[in-house]
Amino acid sequence: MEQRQGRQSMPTEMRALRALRIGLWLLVALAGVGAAVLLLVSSGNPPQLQARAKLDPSFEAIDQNGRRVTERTFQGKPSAWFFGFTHCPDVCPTTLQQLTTSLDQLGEDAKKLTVVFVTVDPERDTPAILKEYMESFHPSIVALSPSAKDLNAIVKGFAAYYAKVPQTEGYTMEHSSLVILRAADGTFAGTIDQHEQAETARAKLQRLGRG
Amino acid sequence: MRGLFLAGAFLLAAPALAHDFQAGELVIVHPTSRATPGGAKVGAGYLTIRNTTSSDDRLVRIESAVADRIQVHASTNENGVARMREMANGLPLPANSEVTLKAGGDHIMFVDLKQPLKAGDKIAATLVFEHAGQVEVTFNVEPLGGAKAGASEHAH
Repeated sequence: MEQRQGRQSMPTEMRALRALRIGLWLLVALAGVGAAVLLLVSSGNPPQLQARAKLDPSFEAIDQNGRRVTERTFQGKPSAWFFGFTHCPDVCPTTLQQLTTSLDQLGEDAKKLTVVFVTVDPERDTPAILKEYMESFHPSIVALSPSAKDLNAIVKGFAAYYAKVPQTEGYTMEHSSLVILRAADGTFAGTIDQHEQAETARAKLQRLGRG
Repeated sequence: MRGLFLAGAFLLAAPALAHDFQAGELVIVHPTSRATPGGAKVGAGYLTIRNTTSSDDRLVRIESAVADRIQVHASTNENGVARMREMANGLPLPANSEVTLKAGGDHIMFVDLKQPLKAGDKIAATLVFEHAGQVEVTFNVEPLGGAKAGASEHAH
């Protein structure tokens, strides 16, 4: 009797041990997955926008024609937002030129959206400076010179980024280089990266305008 | 044969309207700039420098009457953020390599332009190298939208 119980108890213990082993391996696997997820989440990139996130900061600013605008000026119509500055030799003129070319090619569709250029360097980029600068680009692009406080509100509202970087003489700016698209209802509708093909960028603007 | 080879080389080079300069054994390929937007105080310069020698060199300085200061900038545009850093010690030109400064990447920055840059302008400049000495070059100013997009540029 005892012997039989003994024989029977052995497999029970082995089953228990095997279950424990499997359980421990599962924990290891889980830890691995967890670590991978953490790595993905904390890779140090600027904040990523979720689809359908609302991009609707309250702000006011002066446009290149000296008009006072607020968030209400741009509500109810699709818009594309770009953050840059005029002391920017390469990325900003390139992006504004690409937007200009897209708007030229969109023809009538160009009227269905507003392209907004926000200077991240309002200290130097006054509305008058922006006016002269924007004369080289599509006439429908609205350029905004906000106060530092309003600039921070806009940048935060669009999950964008800028920073002032001192140089041996003067300073330069780091800034978001993506064009951020906003649907008529104020929700995030994608981005345009400068590395994308011109046709891709144009198609995105066309789709945005047509809603 | 040599004539044929030269003709071939010319045909290859002609479409890009390349222009080259030489400093010692360094070859400076097609320095260009871009028309500046209205009132802009800064401009960009692009070129390729070919160092086929077995020793490192360095572009230490660029001089031109067109701007108060001329710098070489390390530039990145990654993860949706554009960053720029002055290469205070000049542009390294490693042995047996080719360094290209181009739109969207590392570039030359003309700071505090004396006058706007217009398409078709030619900017006279002197490149000063650590070992190869110095050479006079010209930066051809291309339209704001690049050489190809010239036709679509806005004229106001």
